[in-house]
Amino acid sequence: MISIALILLSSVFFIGIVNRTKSIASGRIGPGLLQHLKDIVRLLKKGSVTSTSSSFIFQLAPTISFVTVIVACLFLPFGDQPSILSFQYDVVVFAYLLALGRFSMILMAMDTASPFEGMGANREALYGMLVEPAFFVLAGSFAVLTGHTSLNEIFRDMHLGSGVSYLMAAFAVYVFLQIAMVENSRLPVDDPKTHLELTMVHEVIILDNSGFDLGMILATTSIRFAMFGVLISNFALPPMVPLWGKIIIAIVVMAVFAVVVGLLESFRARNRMKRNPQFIFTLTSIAILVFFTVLILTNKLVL
Amino acid sequence: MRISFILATMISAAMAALSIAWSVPVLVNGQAASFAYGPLVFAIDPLTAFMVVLINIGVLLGMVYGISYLRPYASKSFMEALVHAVAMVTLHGSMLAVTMMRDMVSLLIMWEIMSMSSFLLVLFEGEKARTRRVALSYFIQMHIGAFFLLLATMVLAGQTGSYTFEAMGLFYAQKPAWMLFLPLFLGFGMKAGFLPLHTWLPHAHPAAPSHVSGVMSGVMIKLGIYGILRTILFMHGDQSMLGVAILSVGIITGLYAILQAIVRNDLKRLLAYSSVENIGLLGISIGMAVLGTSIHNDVIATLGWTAVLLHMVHHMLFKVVLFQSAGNIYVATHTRNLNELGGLMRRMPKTITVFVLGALAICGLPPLNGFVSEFLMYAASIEGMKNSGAYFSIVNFFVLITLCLIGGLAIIAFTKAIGVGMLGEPRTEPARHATERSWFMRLPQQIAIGIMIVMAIVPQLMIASISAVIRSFSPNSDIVLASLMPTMTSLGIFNASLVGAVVVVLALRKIATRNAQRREGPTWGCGFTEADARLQYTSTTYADSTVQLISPVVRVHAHMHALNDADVFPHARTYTTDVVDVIEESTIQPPIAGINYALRRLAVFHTGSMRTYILYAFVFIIAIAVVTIMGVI
Repeated sequence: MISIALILLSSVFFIGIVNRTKSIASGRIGPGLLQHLKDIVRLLKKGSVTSTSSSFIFQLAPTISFVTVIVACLFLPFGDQPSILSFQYDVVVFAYLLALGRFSMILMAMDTASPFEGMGANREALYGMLVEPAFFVLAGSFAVLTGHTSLNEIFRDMHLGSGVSYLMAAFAVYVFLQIAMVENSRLPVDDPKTHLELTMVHEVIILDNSGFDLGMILATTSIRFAMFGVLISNFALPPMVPLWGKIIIAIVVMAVFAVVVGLLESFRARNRMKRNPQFIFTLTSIAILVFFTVLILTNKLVL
Repeated sequence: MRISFILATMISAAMAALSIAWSVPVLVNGQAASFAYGPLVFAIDPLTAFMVVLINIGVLLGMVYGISYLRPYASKSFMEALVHAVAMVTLHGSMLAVTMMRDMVSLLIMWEIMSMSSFLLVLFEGEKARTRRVALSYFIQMHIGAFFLLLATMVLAGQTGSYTFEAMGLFYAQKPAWMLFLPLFLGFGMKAGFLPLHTWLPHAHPAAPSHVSGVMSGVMIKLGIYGILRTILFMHGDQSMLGVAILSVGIITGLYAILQAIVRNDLKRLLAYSSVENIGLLGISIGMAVLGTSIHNDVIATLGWTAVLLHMVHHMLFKVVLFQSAGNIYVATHTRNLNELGGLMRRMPKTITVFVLGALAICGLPPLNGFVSEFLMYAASIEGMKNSGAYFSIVNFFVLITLCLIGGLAIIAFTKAIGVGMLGEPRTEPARHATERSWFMRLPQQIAIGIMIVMAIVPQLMIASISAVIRSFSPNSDIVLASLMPTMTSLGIFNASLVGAVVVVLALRKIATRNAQRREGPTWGCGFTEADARLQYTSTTYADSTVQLISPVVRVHAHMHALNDADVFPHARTYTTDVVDVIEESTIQPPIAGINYALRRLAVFHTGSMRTYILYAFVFIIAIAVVTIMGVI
């Protein structure tokens, strides 16, 4: 319950903080923290133009994408506070919900008959495929570590006792951070502020969307970002801290997350498209490191 | 001519009604039944009953579709139509019989009838040279498979003196399991399409008419899986190495086949490779289940067997849907090449919507039934990582990575099929003039989708109805299933509420945008004003980024003439690509090429002139005389 409230609340500010950080880093005053929300609200009220090439898929996809992210949020716990939806092996459901959202967005892009959007769709499909193993390896590792298979129980019973396990959590946080960057199409895989269609991934997929649907897509992106923020902050919520303390920790973690994203985007260039698969593979290999650490920690692998 | 096929459908329906009436009580009670017809004994145990239901649903859906699919083939002679209809009923009957036989010899006979009748079905469009060649290669490869089964029968009988399945149990108790299991796996795996025995599949499915390819891919290859399951049923003790072996074959099959599916431009060939991929998934699940049984972990074993059985039904359903929808597209446009299609969603929306639903299911995405069985596979692999030693933990870790890679790659393959072939603008005139098919041609797919939706919403009931089958594989499964049921119920509710949530948000969207202006306009061309349908992403380009990543496994040959210095002025040029199946190229083609070469060399004797043949006879007589005089014979 708390996590979904926190996600919705922080999604309002998240992109604002990122953009503000970027503007400060580049010496501009920049837009206000709520500018992104204002944009979305304005878009939701506007009329729309749909392509004559497109079918009902084009109309349906943003809604599906939005719903998948919202439902995925319902699976996220907040420390030892349980999530709204939870059952055994729901880590699989969480990942597959995001995959369903991706599937619908890819079809939406292909539906417009635009060569550029086809290119973006193709990249989205490829990067989505490449990033999934990293998530599953991490999820599997924590299932082994805690002996549980639902997100709720994993985060409730995550024992971070020794120094090694903190190191492992640090790796995991790094991988989740990068997964968030890939899933949300930010640097270094994709640059939301690029101006050439040939170099875009996410931005080119939504070229033809307008009005309410575009607003919904932007809202989806913000919420997904905040969702990963809460997921990451779950690693920093020890059970002994009282609830208000946890909420403060989570807000701080997410603010730091947003600032880090902003700083990364200010000082880093986007990868060449050809290098992206390698970059994403690196994440999986770090996740594999985590897995082997877990095997050692659980005394399965005795060195 | 269709009257014979309608009659065949009726006979099949009667056969289905009869066999289901026998099978359902077995599924419910878990008690085996048998009846004898002369020396032939038909026995029905839970596994057989399960297969009977699967076969009947798949074949009937295919035959109902066939009635309308065959309409354009009115020019076929009565005899051809009759052969086709008889072959269809024979295939149905022999598949049912295969599952009811209880000894290797009768099984082989039924197996052979099954292969022969499906050969005749593939040959339906035999006036095309390509179809004849494909059918012949199918015929030969099926007999290589049958040879391995014969070998297994000999090993079994030689060792135990009996042909019955019970003797397998005896054999496994005395000898290392692989000695019998390997030939059996090769024989059954040939039908199922495990790597590297899959090479007949991507050729036979596109060559066969669509109602047949649906049945072959949805039902017949499952008989191969059935054979493997049947032999595993008699195994006991620690078979973990065997489990790892099956699992590894499954991993390689699944990954290789889905990569091949991504690069294919022929819609039905893409679907055929996707069938091989699903066989790979089944192999992985079988491997995990055997592993779980071997290390006495009931949770892994039960999850594995449940995943295998459910996925067999699920794959049958969505493969029938996909092949039949592809058939509808073929009838409407007369092409299966994705690069010549496009824009079909606006022209035949009902067919394509059904295809999209089938694709969602086959990618294992919520909220359809494919997700339920993939969920169980993931669950088994996570349990495997959690509850076993380092070795099996790492094995299951590979399974987990494979599952999510296959899931992601399947999304690429099917977004390609839909995005390029069915959305956007039509690329050619035939696609531009495509029209929706009649309701009767869409009916079987809609029925299948209906069953799929039910299976997705109440997976717990589906699992409960096959619990007798699961119990025959894993005796302690009831306890595990009891604890699994709440999860499956939640999963079903989740699937239903996901759809509900989308509907609610759509309704809200409608209300919110009721006053907003809506206009239609051309797609934004990014400043390029002369955009036309040819500029769209093609099937080849869509696959290109994946091909670059995995180039040694998937080889694309490009045919083009490079520009010379002399070519100052541009003129018409062609650029074509074709994809080769690397395994087919390296395992099937070299021996064939070798045989061809040897035969061609031998053909020098075949001069066609009477004098040389007389000379041969003369040389032969001389030789015989010399040999006799020398006293050799």
